[in-house]
Amino acid sequence: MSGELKVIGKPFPLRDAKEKVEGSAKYSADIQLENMLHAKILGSPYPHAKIKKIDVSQAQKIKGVVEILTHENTAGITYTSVEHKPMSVLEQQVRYVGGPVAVVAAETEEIADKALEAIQVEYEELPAVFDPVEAAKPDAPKLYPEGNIADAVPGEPLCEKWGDVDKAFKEADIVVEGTFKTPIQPVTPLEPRASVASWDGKVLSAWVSTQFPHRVKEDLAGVLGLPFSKIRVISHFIGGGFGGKKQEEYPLMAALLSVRTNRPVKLEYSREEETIVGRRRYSSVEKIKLAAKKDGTITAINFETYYDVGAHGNFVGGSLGLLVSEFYVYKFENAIFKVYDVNTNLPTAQPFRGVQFPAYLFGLEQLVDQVAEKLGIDPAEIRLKNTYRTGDKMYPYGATLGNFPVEELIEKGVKASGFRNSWTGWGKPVKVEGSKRRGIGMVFTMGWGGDWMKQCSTATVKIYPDATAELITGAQDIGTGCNTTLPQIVAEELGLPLDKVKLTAGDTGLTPDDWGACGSRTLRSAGTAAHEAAKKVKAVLINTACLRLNATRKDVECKDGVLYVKGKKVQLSEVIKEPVSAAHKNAELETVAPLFDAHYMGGATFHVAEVEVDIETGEITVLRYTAVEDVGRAIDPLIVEGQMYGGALQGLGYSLREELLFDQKSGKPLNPNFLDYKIYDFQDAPNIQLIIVESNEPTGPFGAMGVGEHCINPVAGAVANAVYNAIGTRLYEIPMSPERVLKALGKI
Amino acid sequence: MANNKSIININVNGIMHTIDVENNWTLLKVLRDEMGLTGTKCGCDKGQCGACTVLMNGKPILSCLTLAVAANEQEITTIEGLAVGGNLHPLQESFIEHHALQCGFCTPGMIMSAKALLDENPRPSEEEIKYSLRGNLCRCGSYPKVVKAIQDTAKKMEARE
Amino acid sequence: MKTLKEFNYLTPQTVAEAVSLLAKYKGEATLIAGGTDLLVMMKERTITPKYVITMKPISALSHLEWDEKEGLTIGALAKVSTILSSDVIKEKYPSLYEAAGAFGTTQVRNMATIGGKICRSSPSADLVPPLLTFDAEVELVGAKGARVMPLENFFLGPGENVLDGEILTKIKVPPPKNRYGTAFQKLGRSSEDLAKANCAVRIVVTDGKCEDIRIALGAVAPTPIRAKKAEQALKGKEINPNAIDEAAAKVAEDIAPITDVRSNVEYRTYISQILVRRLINEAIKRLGGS
Repeated sequence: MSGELKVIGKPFPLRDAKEKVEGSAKYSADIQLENMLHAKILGSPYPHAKIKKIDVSQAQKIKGVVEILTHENTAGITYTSVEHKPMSVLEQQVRYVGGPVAVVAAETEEIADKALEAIQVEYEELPAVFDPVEAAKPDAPKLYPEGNIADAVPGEPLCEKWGDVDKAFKEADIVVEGTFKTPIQPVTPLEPRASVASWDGKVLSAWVSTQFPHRVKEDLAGVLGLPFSKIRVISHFIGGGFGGKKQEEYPLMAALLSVRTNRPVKLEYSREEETIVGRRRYSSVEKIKLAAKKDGTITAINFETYYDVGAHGNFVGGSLGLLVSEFYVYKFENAIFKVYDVNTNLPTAQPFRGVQFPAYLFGLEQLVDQVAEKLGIDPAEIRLKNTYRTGDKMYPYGATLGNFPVEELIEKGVKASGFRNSWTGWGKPVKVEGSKRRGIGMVFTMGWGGDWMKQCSTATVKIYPDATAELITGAQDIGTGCNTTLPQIVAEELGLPLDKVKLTAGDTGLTPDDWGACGSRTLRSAGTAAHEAAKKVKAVLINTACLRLNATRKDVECKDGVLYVKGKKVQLSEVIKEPVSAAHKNAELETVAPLFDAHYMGGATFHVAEVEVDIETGEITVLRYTAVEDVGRAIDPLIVEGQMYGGALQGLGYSLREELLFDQKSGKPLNPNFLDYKIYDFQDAPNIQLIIVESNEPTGPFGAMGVGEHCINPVAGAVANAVYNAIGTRLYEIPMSPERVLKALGKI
Repeated sequence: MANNKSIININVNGIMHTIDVENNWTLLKVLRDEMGLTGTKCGCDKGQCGACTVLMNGKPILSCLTLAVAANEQEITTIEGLAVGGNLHPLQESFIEHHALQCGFCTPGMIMSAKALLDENPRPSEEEIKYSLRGNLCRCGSYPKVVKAIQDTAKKMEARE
Repeated sequence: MKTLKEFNYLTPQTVAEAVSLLAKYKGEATLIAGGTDLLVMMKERTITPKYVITMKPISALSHLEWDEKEGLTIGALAKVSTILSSDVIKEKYPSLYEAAGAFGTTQVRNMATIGGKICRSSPSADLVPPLLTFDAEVELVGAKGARVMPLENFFLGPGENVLDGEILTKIKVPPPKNRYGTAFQKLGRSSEDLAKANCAVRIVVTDGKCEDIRIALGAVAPTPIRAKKAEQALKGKEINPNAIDEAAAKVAEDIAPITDVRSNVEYRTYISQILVRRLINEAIKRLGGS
């Protein structure tokens, strides 16, 4: 592409902003259909129990109760998501407090609540386990007959190793180690998930708050025993997902109820259900060891970790992502990664923005700093020494790293953050003011970027005789802005102004397949499909012009949405009387992403955190935070900034204040609400300086990469490193609450 | 025997309505389910997130913690009532222009809080904006752009006068 | 979160009428003020009243009055936002003003009433510690008539108070008799939070000596408390860092904190001393002293 880009790189407002600010945007819970029933879920009061007997007769007698689902009348109805174990819509064995036991559909919510109280259940309580290290032991209470270790080979950890780790540690000049703990972080979108299912005798229409509408379509088809053509999932407006709204039971429950009652059914989670049953990041206990040489080379890593994937999680939803990301952060010549994905009697975990990266870097980056401290070099130096560069072949699979402008990012970040002015040395505060200590720390890392992510996106682009176009895409916008950026890609390719490109999305009845919104893949994958489809339809148009106007290919040019034949402008309507279209599919749908790809997009990311720790109160304030990220190309810089800020803020929450707590005896969640699970509000949210770097990634549409996760990965590590430099003591557990800080300082 | 019913007269977005309500309905439920005004959202139903913010007699309140019967004889403004004659309110335009939203779920509540702030304080500082809106949570991270949108709106509205 | 159960909604026009309704439906009725606490409890089904009695029609209860002789009279239904917009309170009772600002959110302050917060009797109530340092009193009206008592004696435990079929109608705060310095701080997990610990101090300093002092804390005992041992340790003494430190250390004997989802015993015990020390210093500073 030569010449200046006309649409790409411009700060367009969101395509759907008007509906959102007007209040006319319909999220799933806003759908109101005539004759609609309201469904509510009865959750298990026990963390682990078998339902011995369930009696719904009293509930059925209540006027206005129309249908009740239990494991008995849904026996054998299962569904499979790659990210958790096969599940029944309603299980007979409940494995966490709040796990669904029955679902009631009634005329009103009030009646549904009454019915829930009238359902009588006899439980056989089973022993429960909540800690992943405990749950991995052979004598732990078993959630599944095959045991609690949910990795590829049941009972065995996921293990990947290369080189000779033992030798590297023997020959090391420096060895550092630590055990790091990270909490459960629920995705906590503002929209509690909801579904409205409507069966009209022929087609099941389902409005669902999901990132994966095409997969949910498949789930619904399977559960209802219907062909795909009779299922339609509508998802125009999703109120945030962050990885946690993919495939789950509640839309299946609503659909079953609709089919059985012949009425539309709405099932809306409460905030408590959203926090508990909605998916969450797994907690982890990481034992990490690094070996290094005097010259600053980190020669080996030994990583042994337990992830708590909850009641129904598995390694795909768990640590599988390690294989495509965390291995690549440094040039580890020798490595052992031994990971246990362990089922516990807690709600199911699922990849939440960044997946394992945030926890990994919380531990790894502190150890990297420790190596640098022992060597007497500064934190930027050690990272420059050990990070890959553009074009490197990476351990262990030999993937080639795409653009990775390490020096540029570190230079920009160091300058913007004032690092050199602030840095006073390891464990030495930048400034001391009364009881307040200031410290600065950094992390250099990468985002997600394997080639595997371009699999399964399809797009169709149409050109109309009136010189407008349409993009039909299966990609799902969850607030991430692809409804704006994907049409930008098409508009640029066709040379049209953005408002001449119509978008059809958010309805599986009208759109082709797309795997779903996750792993920072949408812009890259669906963008490639859209771009290629636009190129193809342009070629179709040119060919048609050749045929109609008896011209040869070299006589015809399509520029800025106008056709030129032998230099003369020709109206599109002279050439085509009906729209022409072309479709592009990146790759066939596969159930599990092929991991060992030849090319890896780096998504270089560099964060510098400057914090102030009050050593009397333990409070940590983020004074200054600098985020520098290589996004390849910012299709819409406002959208990119939104992602960068939002991800970093979630990362700060993870580092400093967010943890979902459970009673260790009863397994009951203690803070599944905004009152006691504190996400950042306006007043506390720190200002973050955002610097976009565009390295023009050749394998991305117009050089773009997805950016949803780069921004959250380094935060906990950067903040922890800054805290260490402020107070001279390291924290090994997040969130770094005032209580933990004071404990680390020996004050309580 | 509880008599759970009442009749309320409420002015919603400039129009008087007489509605049969159940005493145990919240204003949020009446707005969304009875009147079809689904712009106001339910984020937590416990008054902790601000997504249900509407204006009562010009002041921002939480409709999920307001009984419908308590709204009797009051003036309610929802997000649907901001645009006048098909023209967006300057705040709405500013939110769009400054990309002060991502998923949009928190946006109606935020705009209502912002409107009330500007009505009371036409030139709020950044600190005042942040303090005033701290009851409107956003998970996507729109905060800095919302501040900008509000400041920009304040400037524009002042210029008009 | 559940839907609300059904109830009768009663709208008495006078305090007397409200009192008699409370008596008539004893055990099945509750008063509603702003609703910010009550409705949450009703949705959680912690309480399920059959009769909900609103005080809203009794408009006299929402006023705020100031008189040089009588001092401040705050109607129980005065909203927290009213307190926050009162110049008199800002000038004469600054720690109360600050507590009102630290509390809640704009929306909640527009709904919650001072009487409602006091009757909720949460140990962590933000408005209570400052009121305790001003020797506030409450007026309770019941079937037998009205009684006035120190706010300090109103609370019995978490969520429990002395009300016996009575309605809290007024909070009375005596007028300032002499110049004092006040300070308030609240510690939470975020800027808007239930307090992990909060503290209010009021101090009168004469000739470098502490002539009078009030220290009140919340969220560190079953009720908001006056830290009387800490007060006694400083009262009458020469103001200097050692004396202040000693007084702050004494607060450990006044409090009885617990571990809960927000914080733990160790932190609360330790931080109470820090808070008291800092706020005594701050209050003195505001007096113009050193």
